[in-house]
Amino acid sequence: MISRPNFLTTIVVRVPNLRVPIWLPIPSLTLWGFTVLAGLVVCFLPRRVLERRIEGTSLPISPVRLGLWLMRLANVLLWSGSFTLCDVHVANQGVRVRIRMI
Amino acid sequence: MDQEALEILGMVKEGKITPEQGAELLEAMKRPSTGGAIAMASGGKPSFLRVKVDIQGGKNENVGVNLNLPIALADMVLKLAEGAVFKRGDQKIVLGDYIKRLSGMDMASVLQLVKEGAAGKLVDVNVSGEEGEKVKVEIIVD
Repeated sequence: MISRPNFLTTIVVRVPNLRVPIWLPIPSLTLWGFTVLAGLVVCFLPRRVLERRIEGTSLPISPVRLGLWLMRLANVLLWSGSFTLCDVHVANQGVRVRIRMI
Repeated sequence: MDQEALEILGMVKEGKITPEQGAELLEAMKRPSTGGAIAMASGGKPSFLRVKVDIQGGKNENVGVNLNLPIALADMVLKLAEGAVFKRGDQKIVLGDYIKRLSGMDMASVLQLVKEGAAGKLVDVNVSGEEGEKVKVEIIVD
């Protein structure tokens, strides 16, 4: 693992109707905070409350494990340096979504 | 001296390539090849797991997904991917079983390779469908 934090998460969305792509910068620390918070909520909320909130689903794994996974995800993504996390493109529709950690 | 090196020297002698180009080719021959093959990482540990999916549909649909994940998340993501379920008509397809059926490689063995420090292309699956769609899935560790 690269032990260097990334500071900004940029989301670039290109759609055919817009001439200029949408560029959305979010501080990585904000995303880290939200993900850790989500992890803690999942860990500590009772299972039945969670399943009631997400209607029509049953959790395939234990909520504690899921919460720990979320927190680990947040930490690893924050401390992985600069990289392109995801790049999805639909060529014939001219749609492109790119998430970069800078 | 092996045959390939002699051939390169012969090309330099005949003037087909310059001595600098010949030296570059000889250097390239000495380097260990990792293209398309699994190699154990020496020295620096691999840091990223790259998943590339390229779908060329029969109706001129072309979808490309490129996912780069830190290696620390590899076990988590591969376990999730193994259990991922897709619907194709009425049929439910479990991704792990699908890849195992196509390439004979299960996610657990891919995960084991990643943990042991394997680098290079671990999975390379090309599928052609009945309606002309082509699906290419690659899992690369570097």
